[in-house]
Formats: sequence, C-alpha cells, structure tokens
Amino acid sequence: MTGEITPGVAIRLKKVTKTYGSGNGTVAAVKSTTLDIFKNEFFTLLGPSGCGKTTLLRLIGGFEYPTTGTILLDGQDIASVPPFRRPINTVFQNYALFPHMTVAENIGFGLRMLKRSRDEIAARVDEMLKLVRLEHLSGRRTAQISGGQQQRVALARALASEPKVLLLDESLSALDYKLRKEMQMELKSLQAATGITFIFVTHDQEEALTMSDRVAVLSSGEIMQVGTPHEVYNRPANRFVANFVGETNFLQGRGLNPDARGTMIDLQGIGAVAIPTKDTVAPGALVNIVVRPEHLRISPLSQEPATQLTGSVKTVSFCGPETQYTVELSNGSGLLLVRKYNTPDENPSIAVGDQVSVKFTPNTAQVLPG
Amino acid sequence: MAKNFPVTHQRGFSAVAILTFIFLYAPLAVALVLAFNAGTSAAKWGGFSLRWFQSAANNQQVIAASVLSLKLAAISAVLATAAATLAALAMTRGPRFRGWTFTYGVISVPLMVPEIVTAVALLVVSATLRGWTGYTGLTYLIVAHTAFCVPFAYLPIRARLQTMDISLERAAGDLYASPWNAFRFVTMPLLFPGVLAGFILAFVTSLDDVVITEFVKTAGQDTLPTYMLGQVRRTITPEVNAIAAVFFVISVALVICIYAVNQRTKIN
Ligand SMILES: Nc1ncnc2c1ncn2[C@@H]1O[C@H](COP(=O)(O)OP(=O)(O)O)[C@@H](O)[C@H]1O
Ligand SMILES: [Mg+2]
Repeated sequence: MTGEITPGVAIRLKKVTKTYGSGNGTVAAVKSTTLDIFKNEFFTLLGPSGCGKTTLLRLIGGFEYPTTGTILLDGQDIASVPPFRRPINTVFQNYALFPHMTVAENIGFGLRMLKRSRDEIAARVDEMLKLVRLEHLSGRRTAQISGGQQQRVALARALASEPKVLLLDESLSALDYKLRKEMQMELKSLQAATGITFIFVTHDQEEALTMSDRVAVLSSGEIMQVGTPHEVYNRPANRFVANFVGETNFLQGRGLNPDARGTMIDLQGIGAVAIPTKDTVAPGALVNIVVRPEHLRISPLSQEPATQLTGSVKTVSFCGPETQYTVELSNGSGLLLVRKYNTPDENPSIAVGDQVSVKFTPNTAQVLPG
Repeated sequence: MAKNFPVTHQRGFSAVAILTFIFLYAPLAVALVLAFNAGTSAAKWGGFSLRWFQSAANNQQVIAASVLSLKLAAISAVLATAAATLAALAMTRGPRFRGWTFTYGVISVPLMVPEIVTAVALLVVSATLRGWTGYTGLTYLIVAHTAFCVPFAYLPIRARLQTMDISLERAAGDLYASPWNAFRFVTMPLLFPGVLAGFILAFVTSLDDVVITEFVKTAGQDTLPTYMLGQVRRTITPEVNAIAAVFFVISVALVICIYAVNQRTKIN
C-alpha cells in the first residue's frame, strides 16, 4: 500500500476513470478525475442526470472498482478494500431500510455487524434516535413510518457507526418541497454536529449552493469546476458551469486592444467596455460575457442611448420577492433575463411591450472564451 | 380511465361459471361425503359412520404407505428446496454466465414435459443403475422426486428474489456485513416466505405423485397414491375415500399456509 498522508484530506481521487462495458458498447462514465475532498467538509457532486455522479459515489463506496487510477482514504489506497470493510457509509437514494427490522434494529445493524457489545449498541441507537428526533418510533417497522422519517432513519443508520465519510445519493430528491428544505437544514447541521465528511450528490444546483462547503460541477464524466458555492456561482470556469449553476445571460463580444482601464471588450450593441478578467483576451478573439439576471438593471428607455442595451419587454412574471423580465434585445442578439427585487410599495412600472434600457456594472460581468 | 370489457355482464357468464364450479367441486364433495359412508359401497350411501377411517387407520399397508409418502415428500422437498434456492440465487444474484438465458429457460421446462415422459426416463435410469449396482433401496425414489420437485420449489423462490430490492443487500454490505452475514441477516429472512412456499409446493407435489412413483418404485415401495391406485383396480370400498379425505385436508391446509405466509409478508 502506498502511504501518502496529507493532513486534512479525507478522500483523494487520482486520475480515476471508470468505463462500463467492453468492445464497442463502452460508456466512459467517469473520465480522468483528480480530486481532493477534505475532512469535515460538506462536499457536493453537482451535475445533470447521467454525468457520472452516482458512479463516482459508488467508486468511493467500493461498489464499483475504478478502471484506472487510485482512490485514497486518509492516504491509504483502498482499491483492494471491499465495501464492508470501508469506514464509509451510504444513504441510498431509495433509503434501502430493512423491512423485516424495526427502526432501532435498522440503526443498530452496522454496529451489530462490527460485533460491538449489546450495551454499546443500545446506547448508540438511543443517541442516534435522539439526534434525528425519532425516539418515539424506535419500535416501529420501517413500512409504518413516513417518507421523511424513513429518510432520517437511513441517515441515523449510516451515521451510527461513525464512518469517516458519509455518501448521500440524491437523498432528498424524493421528498416534497417543504420537507426537502427542512431536511437540507437538518443535514447541514448534522454534518456540523458530527464532523463527518459528507459527500452529497444532487442534480439540483440550488440545493448544492445552499448546503455545500464546496461543490464539484460535473458534465459527461468530467469535473468542470471545483469551488465554494460563491466561486462556482460568481466565477464560473466555463460556459457549462455558468449555464448549469443558476440562470445566466450570455452576451457576445470581441477582444479589443487593452488600455489603461484593463481588458477592453467590444460588446455587441454597446461598444467598448472595460471588464476585469483573469486572463488577457487577444484582440479580435470571440468571447462570451456572462451576466447574472440579478446584476442587470432595467428601466424605461432613457434619452442617452450610448452605452446601454435596449430592447422590448416580452414577459413579466411576479415571483414574490422579485420580478422577472425577459427582454428582446433590439440589436438582434436574443433574449435577456432580468431579475429585479420588489419593494412592497412599488407598482409595476414596466409592462409587456415597453421599450426599456438594460444596464450592468462591468465588474459584475465575467468574460469566458467564446 | 378506460373501462374494461365487462366480461361478467356477458350473457351466460354466470351459468358457465357456476357449471365450472360444479364440475370442479361436486366429484370432490361426493368423494368426501362417501368417506363417511356406513355401507361397503364407494358409490351408494348407507348411513353415516367413521368405520372406514378406522379401517384405514388399522390397515398396516395404509400405514406403511403413509409413512413412506411423508418420508419421501419430506426428504425430497428439503433437497429440492435447497437446490432450487441455490439455483434461484445464482440466476438472480450471481454474475451473468455463458448459457445464462438457456439455463433460465431450462430450469422450468420439466413443468411442461408430460409427466409420463419424465417417468419413463427416470425408469430407464433407475433400472439401469439397479442392474449395475444391485441396490434396490429408497434412493431411486428420493432422487426422482427431488428432480421433478425442483422446478416447483424454484418458481416461488425466484419470484420472491426478483421482487426483493437488491439495494437492501448492498446496504447490508455497506454497513459492515460480510457477504455471508448479508445473506444471513438480510437476504435469507426476506427470502424465507418464498423458500417456505417453494418447500410446501414441492412437498405437496411429491405427496401427490402417482405416475413417476409407479414407474420408479420397486416391490414393497408403495406410497399412498400408488397404494390407492392398486386398491381401486381391485374393489373400491369407502376406505379409499377416507384416505383421500385425509389427504385432501392435509393438502388444503398446506396451501392455506402458503397463502397466509404470502399475505403476512408481502413486500411493499
Ligand atoms: N452499471 C452500468 N452499466 C453500464 N453503464 C452504466 C452503468 N451505470 C451507469 N452507467 C452509465 O454511466 C453514465 C453515468 O451514470 P451515473 O453515474 O448513474 O450518472 P448520474 O448519477 O450522474 O445520473 C450514464 O451514461 C449511465 O448510462
Ligand atoms: Mg444517479
């Protein structure tokens, strides 16, 4: 075994690939993936259906073996460790509670398999029941409790043996909206309370942003970006991330010669704007300007048309805290989504068909290669 | 929702249904009633009595045949159920192997082969082996019964395994259960109703068998059905009805058992 202990790293994936099938019908579910997941971290794998999230989780859990590459747990290669010897537990998508056991027996199952003493198991089960607030249901069969309660039993069962890492595959997807919001908070506080590394899988970007310390955005078996929710949302690494995480507008632009203000972009319909960028943009290069809907300001068309986008309002939808507008740009470059926070005393002053101007502060925008 | 074809409202439906039930159960009812006949005819009522039950219970041949039947059914059903359980686990939980589809079909084919064909085949095998070895014991019957009972035991077990959520077994593995412990604490308890149903089906099938037993048995190896067949060939007394009545009650009780177990342990 290769020892390679890096303090703070719980799981390290090194050039891990997973290919299903053989011959012509192969599917590259995970392409060369290198990733560190830290101790005591709430880490989320986010991506559309079929992008390889479950496969990654199953590789870490030991239900699948990588085609190439290595997986380290606390610096130890775990390739040859079968799932039942890995201190990694899973909350399954459908909970997979044992129907022939009571809630308490379910929670105690892992400890029983680890041959802990009766007293220790009983004490730990009580503790877990308290943690997930199900003391009153300990004697029930799992078929006799609600979906949200089953979810909590599955969590308690996976946490009872104090694993080093907890894997959760789309664990909240089956719950209705309200319960889901509740469980998001509960998961987050459970993670903080136990100090166990959580690796959470979801296709719901909002859920990922709300709960995670860090998020990895996946597409077709590849990691597109790893970062804090803030980084992933505000500094998307590429067009896929910008598009998948939150709603966004893409504006076409072309690089100009940089001047004293920094990178200059010729933005279609506006002209030269200075936008802060990490990398230099070659003059003449096509770029995408990413602007979030909430960073756009909409107002009735004013007289100074020089540096603003103009268009006509196509739809107006009131969403409670905010109003969303779609604006068809008059330069023909498509629709813009604009979000504006509502104030209670405000009357909607912009209606469908109105001519409007849309502005943004350049440093809220981001330049991505075209 | 589309309305189903109202089959129960078709002209003559009730008449056909009632007639079918009469043909199904009337002979059975008559045979059962005549078991309590005080007369000596298996066809004419001569008053109520339990004399034929007593006579059967005191008949050494009946007792020997009953013991053999039960012994044979118990041993064969245990062996068949064990084989069927392993087969069903291999077919639903093991990796796909070469010839998987073929095996899948072939396991239940004996259910569709006419029993007489199986009987002749088993006769040839056992006669040959008898010739070679000189052994004439019960083993031939045990092997024959085990063989034809396997598919009966297999079907309910496989059905149960197919409806069982495989992620339960994965969850057990995830929670530190070795493959053996996962089988012992999760797979087997959940599979048990299927195994029990398979066992009872195999038991009843063996208990009930005439054709194969008749072909494979040697002198003095009468089971209850072959004994009754022998009696019916000579003179028919209500003693046969009395035996049949006891038989019937046992079979029905076992079938009710399966039903009750299935009801109480429904998955979902
Ligand atoms: N056991 C398998 N055999 C073959 N292909 C599979 C298997 N499991 C997953 N795949 C394929 O691998 C890809 C990734 O699947 P998965 O990891 O389940 O994605 P996700 O969980 O993100 O929806 C998909 O194209 C899927 O069809
Ligand atoms: Mg999945």
